[in-house]
Amino acid sequence: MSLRSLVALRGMLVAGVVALSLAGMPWAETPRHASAAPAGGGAIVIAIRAEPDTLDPHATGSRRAYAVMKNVFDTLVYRGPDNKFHPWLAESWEHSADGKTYRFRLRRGVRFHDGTPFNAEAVVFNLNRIVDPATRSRTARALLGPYERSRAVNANTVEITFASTVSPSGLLDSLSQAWFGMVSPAAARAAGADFGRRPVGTGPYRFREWRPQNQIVLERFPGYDWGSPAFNRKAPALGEITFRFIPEDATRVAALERGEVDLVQEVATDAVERFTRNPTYVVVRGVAPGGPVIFWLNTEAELLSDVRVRKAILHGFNRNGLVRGVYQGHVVPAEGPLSPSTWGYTKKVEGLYRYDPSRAKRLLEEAGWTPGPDGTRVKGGRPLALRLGDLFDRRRGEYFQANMRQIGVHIEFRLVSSAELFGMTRRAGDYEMASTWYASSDPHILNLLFHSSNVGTGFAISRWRDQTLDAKLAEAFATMDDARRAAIYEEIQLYIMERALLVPLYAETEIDAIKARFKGYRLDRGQYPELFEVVIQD
Amino acid sequence: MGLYVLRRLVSAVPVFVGIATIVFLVLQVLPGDPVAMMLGFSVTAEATARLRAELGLDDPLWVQYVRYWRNLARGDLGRSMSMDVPVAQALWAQFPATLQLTVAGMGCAIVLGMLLGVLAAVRHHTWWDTATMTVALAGVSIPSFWLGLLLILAFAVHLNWFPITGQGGWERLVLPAVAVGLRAAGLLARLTRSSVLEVLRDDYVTTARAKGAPERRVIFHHVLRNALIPVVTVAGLQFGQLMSGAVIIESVFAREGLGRLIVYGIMQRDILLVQGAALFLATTYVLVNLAVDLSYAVLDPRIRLGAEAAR
Repeated sequence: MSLRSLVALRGMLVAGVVALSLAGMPWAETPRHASAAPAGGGAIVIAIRAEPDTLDPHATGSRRAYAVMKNVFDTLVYRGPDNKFHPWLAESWEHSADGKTYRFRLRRGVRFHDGTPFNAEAVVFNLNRIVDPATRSRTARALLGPYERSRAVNANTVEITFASTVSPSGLLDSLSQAWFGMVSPAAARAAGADFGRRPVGTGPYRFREWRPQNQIVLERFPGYDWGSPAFNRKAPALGEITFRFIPEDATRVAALERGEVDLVQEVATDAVERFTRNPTYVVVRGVAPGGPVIFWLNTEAELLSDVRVRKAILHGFNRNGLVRGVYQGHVVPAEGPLSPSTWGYTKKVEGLYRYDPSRAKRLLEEAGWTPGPDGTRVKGGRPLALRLGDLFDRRRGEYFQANMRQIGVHIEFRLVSSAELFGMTRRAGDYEMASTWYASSDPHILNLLFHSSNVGTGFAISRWRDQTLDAKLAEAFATMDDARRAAIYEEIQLYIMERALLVPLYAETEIDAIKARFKGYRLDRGQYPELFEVVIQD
Repeated sequence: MGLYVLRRLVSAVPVFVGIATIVFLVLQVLPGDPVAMMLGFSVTAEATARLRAELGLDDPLWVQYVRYWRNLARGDLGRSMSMDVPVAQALWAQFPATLQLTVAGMGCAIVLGMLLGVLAAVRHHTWWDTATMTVALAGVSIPSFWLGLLLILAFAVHLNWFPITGQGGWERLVLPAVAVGLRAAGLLARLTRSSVLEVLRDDYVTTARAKGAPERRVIFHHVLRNALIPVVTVAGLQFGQLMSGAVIIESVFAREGLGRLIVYGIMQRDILLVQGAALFLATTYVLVNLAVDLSYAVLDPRIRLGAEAAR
């Protein structure tokens, strides 16, 4: 806000403030600092956009829950920024040649926040809890794939058996995510369904308080010294972490500027510049791996069954224009079914569909679509009008709509609720296009998004039923050698793009702003806040 | 008098039945499958069927409707899927925060509205009049959530007078209360102004002045007493409006309250929570209006006499 408009605003409101603006304003001399240091190491207050549903790692699928849970729970392995797997609760691991049996040797001396020991029995309990239908797992169960059973070989060795081959990189990636955080069997049994409201793990922080619609507070777990060797320290420095739920974008940013919070997640792109220019703050960003933001093309919709039409749409879309014009260059363009930061991403998808409106028009002509009286193309009296449903963000849909109008494609754009989007994409006749985004640190996400068995579940929205693609996806999941696995995923990405099953827009980018006096902050592999190495330096 | 109260109470019953029925039906016709949403990645046909059965969603609509009323009669709004507590308990936990903000907004509206209104009337046709009425017009016209953001920028970020977010302490209540109350303040200011202007022309005011009473005494003793009757009744009727404003403002200032709970319920696709909150708010609205209606009868004899004469 400029000074002039502020002065005008003050003038406007002066009458209202007169009763309140007592001279001096004693409480306002210094803003109450969010991080009034408690015993040892200081505290951090983090503004997150939404409240988690539950802090039960095995049950939830919420990104906000993940950000909190990763401090309360440790996982067997840690996936570092280098994309490699490091020991954590598991010291080492090995697997059978067929990839059906895995053994993890566990670290000794680890205990849960309730004092009970962490051991092989606890891991068995955790894995069985994930697959138990009563847990109603939203994410972990799906990631565990063909899990059959697990057993404690001895107190510190656990063996997991799968019904079919599972690649090491796929399994370790799953086990490194907070959805596989190790919960205390004693606490989980005692709390039952209530566990997600008072979680107990082995993590560096233990749960203290959850005030609904307000905040979650964690405090350092005394005696914690089993941080993964991937970290530069064994125990965290910060004594306390508070997650405050602040839904409004502008309020989150203002709360940081006024010092009520120390770190803001999901900074709106139009506020990024303010923090970038100001040395009091550091802007941290990361490109989320997994699927990019996608406008799906429903190949079972009559209007999109012709691949030439789908290719025309891809050529008619000015991706870089969207990224620069609407998002001020703060997001990374995506040109394939995987985000560029995903392990196994191939650069060969780049440039496959350059922005080329005249080529798009030619393709539509070839497919028999000719310009109608109002500019929208028609064929057999039917206009080329596509229904597009998107969540949250109106701007990208409207930009796309404008692009498509130039090649004679009419887009009926509508902002929908997630329940509505999920519902309509389960029936072939209810949509031509829809938008989704799913983060994941392994390319196996493609199975969810493209395997024909997921058509009609609300995930495989392009409804492409193809045995060759299904076979390739299954093969990639079960390939033991990483290089070979990456090669198969490359084939899959190109196969999908050749058939023009989707319009990739951009990779979702997490943008955080943090006070500069907090050193060592970064985003982890999944673009969640990594607080383990953060220290305060004034 | 007793009969009047009884009649007003009885007439509130069909309103409540209507509200409860609409709330029930709206959630039935909403697009999308809430069960599939709840299950997320692990959605399978069996899991969907099991959860649908558990929630009773497979029963015919009328069976669900009857069950809905049976539960309502027991004060049972169901159990929140996402919070895993009874919905009624979740609502009661958040209600005080919303009530506090609404009352603070109301206080702000009355103080500000009357102050500006009297000022404008007494300084009729001066720049004071124009200025206060401009503020009143702005108050009525500016959407409350936008006003909330402006207040944050001006008084918290730039002037550093007030904190922005959270509960606790009156200083955290000031900005949200102004954001909630300014619309009603504008309305009350305009009403106070015209009401005071009208009374100022009355004979007894001229008499008071002719007797040589000081102007201050004329305004506060003779004019305001009579001018404020319509203002007070309108203020009462604004209460429901203020509460719905508070529900929106809670999100802007990240305060606890029913509004936050509703947004949370929507994000978690927690049907019963949203249903319960909608019903709760609508019922509160009806009850507040009923209380205002009844208080008329106490305050202004003409109303209850008129009602009885009409029989």
